[in-house]
Amino acid sequence: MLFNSYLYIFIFLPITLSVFFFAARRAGETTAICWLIAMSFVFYAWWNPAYVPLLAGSIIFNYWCGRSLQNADNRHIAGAVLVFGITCNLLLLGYFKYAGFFAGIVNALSGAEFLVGEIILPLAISFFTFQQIAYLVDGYKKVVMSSGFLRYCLFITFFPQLIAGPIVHHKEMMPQFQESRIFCFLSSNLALGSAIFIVGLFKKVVIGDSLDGLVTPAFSAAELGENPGFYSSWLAAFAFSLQVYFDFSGYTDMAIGSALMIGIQLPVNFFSPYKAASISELWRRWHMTLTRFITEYIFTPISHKLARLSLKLASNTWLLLILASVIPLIITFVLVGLWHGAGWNFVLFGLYQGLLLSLHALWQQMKRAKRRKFTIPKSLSVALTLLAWVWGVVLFRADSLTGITAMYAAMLDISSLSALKGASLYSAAVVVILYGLTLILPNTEQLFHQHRPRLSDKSLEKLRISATRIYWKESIPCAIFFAAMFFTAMVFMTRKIEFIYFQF
Amino acid sequence: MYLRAQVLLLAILLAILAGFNYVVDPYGIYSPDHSYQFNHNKTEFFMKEPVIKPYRVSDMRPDTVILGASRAGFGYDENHAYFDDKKVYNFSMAGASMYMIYRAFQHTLHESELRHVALDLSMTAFDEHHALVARDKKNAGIDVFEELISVREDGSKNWLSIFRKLAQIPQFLLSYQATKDSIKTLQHQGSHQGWYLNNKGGWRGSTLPPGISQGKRFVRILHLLANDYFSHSSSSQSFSIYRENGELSRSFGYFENLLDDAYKNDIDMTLIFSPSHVFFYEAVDYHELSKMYVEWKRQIILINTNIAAQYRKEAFPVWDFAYYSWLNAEMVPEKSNQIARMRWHYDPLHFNRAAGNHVLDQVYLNKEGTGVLLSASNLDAEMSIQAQKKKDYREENKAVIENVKDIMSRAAARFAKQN
Repeated sequence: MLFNSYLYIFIFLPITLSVFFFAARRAGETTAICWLIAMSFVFYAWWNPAYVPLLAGSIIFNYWCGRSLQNADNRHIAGAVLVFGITCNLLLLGYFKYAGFFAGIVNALSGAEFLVGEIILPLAISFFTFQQIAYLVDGYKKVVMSSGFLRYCLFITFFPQLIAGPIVHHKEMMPQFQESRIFCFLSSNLALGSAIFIVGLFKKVVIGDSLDGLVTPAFSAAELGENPGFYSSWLAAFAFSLQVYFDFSGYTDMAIGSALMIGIQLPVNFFSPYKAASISELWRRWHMTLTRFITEYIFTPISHKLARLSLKLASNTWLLLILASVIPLIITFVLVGLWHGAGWNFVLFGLYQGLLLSLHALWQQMKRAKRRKFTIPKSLSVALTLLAWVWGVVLFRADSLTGITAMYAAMLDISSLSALKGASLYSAAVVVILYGLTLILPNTEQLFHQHRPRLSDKSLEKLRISATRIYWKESIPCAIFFAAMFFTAMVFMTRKIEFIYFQF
Repeated sequence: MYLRAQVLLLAILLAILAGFNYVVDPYGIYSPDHSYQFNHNKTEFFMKEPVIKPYRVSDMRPDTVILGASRAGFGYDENHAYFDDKKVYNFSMAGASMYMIYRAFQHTLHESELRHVALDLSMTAFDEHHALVARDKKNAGIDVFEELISVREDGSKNWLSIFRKLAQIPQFLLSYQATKDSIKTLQHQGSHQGWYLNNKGGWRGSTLPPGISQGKRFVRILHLLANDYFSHSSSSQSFSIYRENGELSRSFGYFENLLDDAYKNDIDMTLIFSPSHVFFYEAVDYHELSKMYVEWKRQIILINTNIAAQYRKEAFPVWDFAYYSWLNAEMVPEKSNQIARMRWHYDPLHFNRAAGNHVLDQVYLNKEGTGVLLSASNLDAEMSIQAQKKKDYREENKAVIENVKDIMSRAAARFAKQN
């Protein structure tokens, strides 16, 4: 089920919330939680009921592994359970997401003819698998507490974040599920949650979906091997970077807003990434819960291992940097690329991001080594970061290597610049205005900062949220403004356009 | 207070918008038979037929339907004398593949007491590539169409369609597109030069606005045939009624299913190879598809005969108006001539209502006409006669043939350059 559908907004959400609060009051918290789990399964099954047993099986299996880890006194046994649990999760993910891709590689390298039938990728498999791997690792580290199967089930299936995150930690959600306040209806939660939901819906359907018309023609032409032209290809790349931002941050806002209506806080996932002055900062602001996950469970362990190795080999700063930062960054981001999808374009996207981040790390080290305070004006840094990002999103959006090659060839083919048309200049103006707005306007977090709609997080504290002149409060002018936004979103909600991140 | 104000304002805004779109009713869903002067002509229907027509059929419950692609919508008149005592609906859809036509038939059969069907047969609806596109639901509006059809392909009830129909209502009442179409509907009343949808599903209106050359229209459609029908700009596959392994296109499977259901349910069906202008047959010839065209007709006859035999019934009549007859050899005006209008044809693919009436008169009222009744027994003989007529026409109209070839070669060169 899509957040941006009449069904979700006018039927599913009102029924789910009403029955939840009614059940909590009349039949107790357990009944209310059971209802929420049942509705989360309905939410998931709406896409394809055939994969509900897969989700249910994955939950039961991981809960069993988690319990075994928590109860294990012997570290060796716990280690074996952890390896077994992670392996099973990765095999499941690998089968559904990567079987065709890797069979293709093996066939190409060996000349074999492994045939993998058409496998439909179950919705949200990357998200719920990663969330459960994190749960197992935390269980091994004994940092998760036992809270019963029902609440664990809700932790995985909780519909606002089931499909595309934010990726949450067990320790963030379980305490909230046990608080009695979430079972009491609060109009302030409904007002705040609905306001955040409206912002997300507006971002998605009014801005994100409308940009599709500027993106798809150029990328489709490139997929056919045609040259979309210098101007159209750049316009499409810039428009896509805006589309994916408004689409995914819109989704996140809707997830946070939906959860907040029940009084559940989710972590922030976006914090104006296009205001970042470096690629490293951009990744700290973009899909923040994924960045947190990969840092904690992939980058840091690899980095620590290689740092120890480097110290054993020689105490050279540059070697340490390469082993502890550059190599882990590249490995981590290639895996991030693969997490997004089984395709060479995603591998290249990850590699490109890893290289950019490595270059940034080397640059920082160079500045430290020279002990000079060489600074680039912030506006230039922001522009350069954005340009590097836009260049990279072509890899993310294109479906094949043919598409990538054709797009980059067009983006470098300055000779086709002369074929400018008035209509496309208008499109460029729209894109420029939208970039301007993303740079000037406060983000959702800043708009609602005073009401603390999200979980506090270390990474967020580092971003030092400052007060803005534009903010939301429960007032009549705000009610009118948000009703108008909601109305506009309703009118634009004509097509069933899925969220870009649903495919991951 | 905040929530109350927000809900109240939102309710007012949504009610105003829904009320406006309900009253104007741009797709003729809510008041198709009682429309007023300000919204009588439903002008904004193009490419939305797969969404509009299933609703209308469920509402109207016709006992007679006309099925086919846009040609049937253009050419067949639901007010023809034959339909006087029948509750007829024209369930043709622009660009419909055989799969869509079959699904439209299934829907009508399920929703009403269907008795009579006029099925317009078009070779382009049997294209294997077209069938694949339809199956993959990548075509515009196909996914919604599929959801609205009240039976599944296997004949079982599609319970979700009831819900989907309800879920579609906001699209008709609240969407940006519906609002835009409502405004256009109001603007286009009286002054509209194009087509509009009548309350029986047919395309009506002026054929070509004054000042538009019909000769140019012919050239444009020949280019369209070259780029989108016989070669596919979105794919490397060219037009074919065969699969890659040499078997017949799966469109024939849908055709067989349709006939099977029709014989099983005692439907009175007439199959019609409707007229096309000779420019169309010349375009077919230019793309070396003439043999395929004859084979397509042959397969239709054989399938119809075989299924009738299975049910021990008389085969449905198959009328052929699609050959080099005087009706189809009408002179096309020069491109520079912006006034002349053709009597029988709109463009190489689409015939006018006059030609449609010519067909219906002969098929249903036994009047004289250019149609030939085809059957398994006279098929070879009739195909030979038609081949001779083609030869004769080409002998007598060499300049016309060269002109079409020239247009097609230019269209093919343009297509090759684009791809």
